[in-house]
Amino acid sequence: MKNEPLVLGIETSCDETAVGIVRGTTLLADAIASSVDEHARFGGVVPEVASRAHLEAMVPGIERACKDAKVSLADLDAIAVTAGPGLVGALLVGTSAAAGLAFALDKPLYAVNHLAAHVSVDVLEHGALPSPAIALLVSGGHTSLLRVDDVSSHITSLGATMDDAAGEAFDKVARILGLGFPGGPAIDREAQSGNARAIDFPRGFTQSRDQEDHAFDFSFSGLKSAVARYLHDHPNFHVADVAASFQEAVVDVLLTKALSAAKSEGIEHLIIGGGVAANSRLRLLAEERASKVGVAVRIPRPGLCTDNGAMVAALGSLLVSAGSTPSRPGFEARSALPVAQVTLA
Amino acid sequence: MSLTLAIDTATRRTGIALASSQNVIGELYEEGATAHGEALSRLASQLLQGVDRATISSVAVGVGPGPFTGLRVGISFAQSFAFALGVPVISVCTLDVIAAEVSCNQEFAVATDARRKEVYWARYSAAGKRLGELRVLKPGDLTDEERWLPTAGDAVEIYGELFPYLLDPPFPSMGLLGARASEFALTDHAPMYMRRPDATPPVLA
Ligand SMILES: [Zn+2]
Repeated sequence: MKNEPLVLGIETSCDETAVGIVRGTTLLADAIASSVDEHARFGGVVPEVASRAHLEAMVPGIERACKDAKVSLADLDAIAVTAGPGLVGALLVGTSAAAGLAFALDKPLYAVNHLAAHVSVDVLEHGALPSPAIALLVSGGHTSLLRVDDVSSHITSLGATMDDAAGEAFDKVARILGLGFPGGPAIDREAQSGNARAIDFPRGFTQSRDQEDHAFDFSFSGLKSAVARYLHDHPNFHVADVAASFQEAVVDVLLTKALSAAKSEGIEHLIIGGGVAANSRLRLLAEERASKVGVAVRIPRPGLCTDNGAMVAALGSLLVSAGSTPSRPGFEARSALPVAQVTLA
Repeated sequence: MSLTLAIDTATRRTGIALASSQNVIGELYEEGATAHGEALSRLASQLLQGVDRATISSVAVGVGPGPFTGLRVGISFAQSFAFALGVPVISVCTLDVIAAEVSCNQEFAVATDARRKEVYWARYSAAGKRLGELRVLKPGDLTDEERWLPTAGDAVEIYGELFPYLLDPPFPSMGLLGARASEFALTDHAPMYMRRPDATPPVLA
């Protein structure tokens, strides 16, 4: 459909330099370059290394996205870019590139929230978003439970992690198990051959005393310490069992909280996104447990769960369609941008 | 008309200009040690108001040496802008642009603030040609002969007592860069960071 907005999205909040192009809710291109290998020896993302890599990969990424989408930049209706939350030095490479494109082409620029983009990406896979919906966003950088009334304008935070992000817990546990970085895929793989009930690891913030203050918040640092303690006390531990039991504890607490949020808000739709949503156990158990309580689950395919440019373009396209005002020149990229701020004025 | 868009974010003064080889159409600056990205967008929106983009035939950008984040903001903007218009990027050394405006009848130096109590430093011939390597160092580590060279660049304001002979200008002129960009062209487009990344592994508590 020619009259749907053609939008290019740029994402550089962490270690992926990503450029996506969508027309309306149709994915046309999703170019991603990652500096993950350069960070592996540090066991985590080094901001300055990521920022340098973003600059090198930026224009080649834009070029490749246009080629894959078979469009020319002059055809774009708008540019969208992640303005936070994320690593500020990394965000700035993306926002500057987006500003360069927007000024050269004289097109509107939308500075958007990374978390809202994670939710929006599902329109590319499963069509218009159900509203209202609960969104569970889990990755190395964020663990958030949201109420989404309108992804282009109205998102409320219900809860978030009080310490480690879910993906960070995967990275740290993978590290102490000697499984390398990033930890998510490594633990998922190892857990396939393990017994998820072998060890009863703690579920953070699920005690009755937590229900008042932290009903929808998360805590993973106690779980990580429990794994470390278990390994210390059981020198002959079985790696696969530890991985499976740890993963079960994370997935259990994520889904318990997401479904209880749905119940308490009276909402029947759950959208899951973020890198940890690529976890096979989370995907399987989400379907099982949600269907039991009458909640419909939507999870984009793993490639769209991890950080990508298409999600930013998808949100940009929703903003154009909603008639939202573009961001003014000189908006400020922010590392801790609150999710209620879907776009920067 | 064939115009060059000139940009530099390698010092604490963010600058942008539009110029032909004959004259400077517009030239804008904003001072501030941080927030180069926000400043650059504000200045660009002012400068490019009503300008037909088809008249822009190249983009010149200072690739440093300069502090990491600010430096990248200008380069990222310049490269995307040029790519979108299908015009070439001319990468230049920020210190060379400062040197081009110096009038001095002997060898001189340019020193800009590198933060962390250091400066970017280079020596130039009386004709403004760079001699020897670009360096990043504590001003106290310069030899007496080097310190006593007449010196331009904003570091002389900060370390006044260490640089006895001050020269103008403190910052690169974007109008001059826009008008004479090809004279400064480097073959390498990579940012001149002059420092390795601060690659401290994240704390694994
Ligand atoms: Zn993310």
